[in-house]
Amino acid sequence: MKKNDTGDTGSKRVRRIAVTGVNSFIGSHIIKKLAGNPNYQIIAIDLRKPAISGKNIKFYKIDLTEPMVDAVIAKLFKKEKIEEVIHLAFLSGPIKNTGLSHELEVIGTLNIIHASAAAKVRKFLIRSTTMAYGANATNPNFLTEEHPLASNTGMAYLRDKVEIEHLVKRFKEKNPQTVVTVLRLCAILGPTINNFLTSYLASPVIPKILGFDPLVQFVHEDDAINAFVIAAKDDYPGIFNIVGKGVLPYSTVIKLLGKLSISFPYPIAYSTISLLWSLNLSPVPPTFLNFIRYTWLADGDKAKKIMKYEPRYSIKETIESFIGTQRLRDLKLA
Amino acid sequence: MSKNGITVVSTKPKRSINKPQVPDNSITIQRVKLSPEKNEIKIINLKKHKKSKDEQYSLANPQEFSPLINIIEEKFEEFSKSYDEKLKSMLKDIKKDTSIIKLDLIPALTGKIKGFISQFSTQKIKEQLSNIAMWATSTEVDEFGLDPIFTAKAKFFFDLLYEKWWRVTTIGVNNIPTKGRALLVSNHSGGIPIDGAMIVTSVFREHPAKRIVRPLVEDFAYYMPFVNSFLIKTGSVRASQENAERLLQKDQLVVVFPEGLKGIGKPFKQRYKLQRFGRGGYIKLAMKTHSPLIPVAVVGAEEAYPIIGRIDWLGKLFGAPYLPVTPFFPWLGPLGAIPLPTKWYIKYGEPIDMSKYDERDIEDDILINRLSENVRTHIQEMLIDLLKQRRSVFFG
Repeated sequence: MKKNDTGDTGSKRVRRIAVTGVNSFIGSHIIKKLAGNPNYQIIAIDLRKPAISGKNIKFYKIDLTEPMVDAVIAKLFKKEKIEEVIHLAFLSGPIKNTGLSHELEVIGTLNIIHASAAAKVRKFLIRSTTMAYGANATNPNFLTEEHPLASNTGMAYLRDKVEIEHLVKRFKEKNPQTVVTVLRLCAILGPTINNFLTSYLASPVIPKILGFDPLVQFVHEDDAINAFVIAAKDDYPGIFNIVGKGVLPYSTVIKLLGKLSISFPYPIAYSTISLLWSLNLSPVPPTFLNFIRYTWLADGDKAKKIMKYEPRYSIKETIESFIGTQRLRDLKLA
Repeated sequence: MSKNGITVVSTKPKRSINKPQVPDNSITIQRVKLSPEKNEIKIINLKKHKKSKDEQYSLANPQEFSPLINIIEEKFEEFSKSYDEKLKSMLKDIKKDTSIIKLDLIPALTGKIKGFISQFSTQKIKEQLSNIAMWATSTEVDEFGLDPIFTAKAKFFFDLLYEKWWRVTTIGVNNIPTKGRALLVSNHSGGIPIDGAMIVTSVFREHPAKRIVRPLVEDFAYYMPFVNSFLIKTGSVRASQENAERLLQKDQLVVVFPEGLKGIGKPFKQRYKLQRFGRGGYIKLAMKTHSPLIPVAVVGAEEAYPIIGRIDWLGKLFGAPYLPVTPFFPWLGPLGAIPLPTKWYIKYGEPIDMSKYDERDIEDDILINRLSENVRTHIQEMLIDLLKQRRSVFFG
């Protein structure tokens, strides 16, 4: 194991951290950074064993959607003397089975929150998304953390995300002594990540809404991991938008990807994507189309100021790094 | 000068001290080139500041905003110079290579399938058309989406309107500071909000520092297809307190139309009668960001689209709040939508200092209302002055 920068060698106290969803993209990288570091004792929770093992990592196979699982986790947290929780057990994108998605995302979070409250953890770090603000023509160009989250949305995935945020907010109010950090990430893109957006952008033809060309933003996967490492290492209570450097119009993104785009009037695009979604041919539900129609840029200044998080990749570099490996993948070379 | 309780501070003497931000194109950037394959701006040979690769200019940084202006200027010159030639050569090419317009069926009939298929290569057609059509876009935009290459091409059209169609006379452009933030407050008129575009064009052309003004645009435009993307690319920003604050904090020029839709949609007989100035949001904005207010009066736009009625339901079909009815529109169809070639005047008044107000004054609604009303009467007086001097609607 190489030397890593996450260990604060000064303090001798071992930090005991529980990480849920260690097989998720961010989870696996956090584990990679912490593995072998004697200052951290990690409890990994997931359905599958993580690819990385280490002396300081203990794996527990727990299904967060099972009934009464909160009591089990609370018992585990108390037994292992867990002080910090990093909750990353989320889906990588919307799925057709909205019931299952709701169980995993919302009820899973609820169970973790119950257990964390019972075990009186010192710190709680959770991943969220800037999609939770919703896409709207009346959004300000840069949404700050104070902006109200989307309401009355038809997108089940989004509704779950907003509900998770409300659960965390209530948890924070009930447990004021806990350091609660919410990182709202914008769309992650990069050479290795695999989520609904990468499969959307990897398709040969990308739909566009006729007459609409909103500005979009991405965060490079390395920057996203970096943000989590910063937030895990030190205490930054509050909500932070994590975004990349710069913005670009959606049409320019497609041009940079070198893809073909077809413009549809909104109603036609909606019904086409509905059909494709029901046939499992589209990685995004039709309700996603609002996100390529209206603006939903988030303002990352707070994270820059307080967390000292500085994105290293510009949006153009992010897109190029993604499409570079995607081309190899298309040719079955990577 | 004290008028209606507003202190008017002249910035004229200051101007001679402050050097213009961009005195010469050749100093900062020598050559800006567009690579044809990638539509990418390449900055070649920086004379003055030699920057390392890491600190290449970013559009988000206001101090570094001047390269953007240079790009627009250069691109525009390049574009307008070669415009005629390009048009001619393109027409020639089209005449020569008829395959662009109609399919040449002879190769197919003679069995040369390859030759037949090669006509469908869009690359050739695209290359030629992209010189004229606004297809070329930059791969770098500023944080509000201003696209320098697209704007340079749009400027060609707005310059025609400014110079040839409305023959705009700009008065007092030096009241706009060469550096730093300022909030321009203008009357709004003329059926379609083209007066904003003319203010932007006028400042860019006439001001010694060639400053870019960012107009704040009403919400409805961002629901309208095509209109919204055009507005974003040419530097407009949706009117919201957060957006305007962000722009002014970065020392940019912002123009607001506090009359809003009431201004552009008012009937012809109410021309040059200023409507209510919103709820004074722009006063709060100027107080919060300590930006000077610059009153702007636009004369001529009212007669360009004499509104005699409006059809609300038809406008709603296109996402607009109404469809203006003029003596020519919609009766003459698209022809009637051409604005009348009236003579325009744009006058920039002396800046109104807002730095004496602090945080507490923002909460004082009565004060804000009074200040807003004062600004309104000030602009109304400017309008009346201009109208008195004008002898003819079409010839000035």
